[in-house]
Amino acid sequence: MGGSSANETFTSRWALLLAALGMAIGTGNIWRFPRIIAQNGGAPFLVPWFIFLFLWSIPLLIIEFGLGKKTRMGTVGAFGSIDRRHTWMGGFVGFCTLAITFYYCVVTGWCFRYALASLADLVVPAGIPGGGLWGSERTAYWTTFTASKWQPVLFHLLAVLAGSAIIYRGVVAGIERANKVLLPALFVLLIIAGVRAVTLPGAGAGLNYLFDPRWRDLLDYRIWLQGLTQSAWSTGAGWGLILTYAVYMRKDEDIVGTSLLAGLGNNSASLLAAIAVIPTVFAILPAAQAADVARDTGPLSTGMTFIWIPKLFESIPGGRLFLFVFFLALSIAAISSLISMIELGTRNVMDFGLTRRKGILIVGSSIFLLGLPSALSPEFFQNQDWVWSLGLLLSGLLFAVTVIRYGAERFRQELVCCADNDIRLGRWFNFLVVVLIPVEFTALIVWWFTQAILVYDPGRWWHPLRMYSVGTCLVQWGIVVALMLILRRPIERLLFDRPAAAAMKEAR
Amino acid sequence: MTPSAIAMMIAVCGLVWGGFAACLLYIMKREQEKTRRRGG
Repeated sequence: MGGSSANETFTSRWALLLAALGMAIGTGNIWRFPRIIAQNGGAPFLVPWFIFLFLWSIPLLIIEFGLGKKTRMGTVGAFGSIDRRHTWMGGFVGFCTLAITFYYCVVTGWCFRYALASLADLVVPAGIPGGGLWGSERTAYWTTFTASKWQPVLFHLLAVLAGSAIIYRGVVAGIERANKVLLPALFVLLIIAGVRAVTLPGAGAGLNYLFDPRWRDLLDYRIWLQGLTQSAWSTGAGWGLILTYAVYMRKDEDIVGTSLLAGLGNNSASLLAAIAVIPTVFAILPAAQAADVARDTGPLSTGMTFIWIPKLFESIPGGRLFLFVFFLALSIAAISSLISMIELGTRNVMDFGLTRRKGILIVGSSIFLLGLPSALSPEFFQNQDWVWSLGLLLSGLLFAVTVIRYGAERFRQELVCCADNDIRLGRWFNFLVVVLIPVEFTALIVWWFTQAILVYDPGRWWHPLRMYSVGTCLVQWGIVVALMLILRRPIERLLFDRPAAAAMKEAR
Repeated sequence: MTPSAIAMMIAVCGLVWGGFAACLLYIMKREQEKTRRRGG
């Protein structure tokens, strides 16, 4: 089990990189990206999506690496170490990511369920007693699964147990070893799915839809905002997850190159997923219907992934195998991200002086219990997804604010630029952090809140108990911030005033 | 596929996958140099 300092440091740069990629590549790459690209007209969307990788995600990844490597503490301790007045910010960032973990774990359970169902269909081609995924009516299959209540709860529990079991083994034997298997497997599966998709007769129409440049669409500001949103949510930048992994990086490890690789690797996986999904849709359906299907959001945004993909794979040779490949890849992406989220909670708890075992017990049981409402209620799930996805944008801003207060140039010189850096970080970093990230945050939050006011819930946008309202965001964020401010003193005493904490930090 | 779509595909995949591969190769080379300097 983890606990010894030898088991609490990544053994090589490649181990750290694989863990960072595992964190970044999640269900959003395979599930959300193809749908969002289709909803935003294909190729033009790829331009802002790629640009904002460098203007939002990579600078925030660099900040996270710098903070984690310097402070050797989880989100709460890291922000507090830089400036005691910022402890609450670390608390908000940590809670925001944990709040996402509560329902992300439910989503991981869905992926496990569909991977198991597609495996069963593969090994028992004659049909599963009681009705398998293959050949079923998809929407009814999905509805039966979610309405059963016990099934989403059971698979949610399995996801918590699987993630916790990996974390329990520590950084090297758990996180590092798991990612060494999961990440190569994920890329191989995505490549197999991508090659299969582009070799289907008629796949060219899908590739055309995906890559045909319609430059005039770039004048639409919404494409830029969607590109920025996808970049912010997909790479895991500003979530505190890379900060957590950076706690375990070696002292002489490079930050800039690893951030660049993590960001580009994440986008590479997204592009592979889009190439695996969209040409498949166009190869099987008539062009007009294919575009609608690719854009279909469906219940809980599951339309394309859980409703259409199983149906489409029925029409291709070897469909049973490729359906299993798809859901296995989705499950791997989900669990590799989930373990980083559980580690974030565990690291924060361990900073208070608890052992890894106790930390996992507290975090794992909290994720299970607080994920139950999302497993049982689609409305609650959607509300939490809305509130905390937007909360992540605020988390990104809080990272930038901390660097601004510390001094962007000082941060760059002291925390990022070290002798072992492979790539030099120029002064442009200061401009990105001080000017661009706050501007990007403002544009995003104004746009999403305007959507809530004008489109999602025009009459009751202020109401705190509505699903997609501005009020629900502000109230839930406000409660977390207020709690963090109230508990600031005891938290700081436990984190910073214990001799044991100082000794452990020094040892790392 | 239209010629412009093919050109765009090459550009996007080249930037994303090519960028990732180039960055990976560069860092692998740097790691080898560091190992050699340390006498490993």
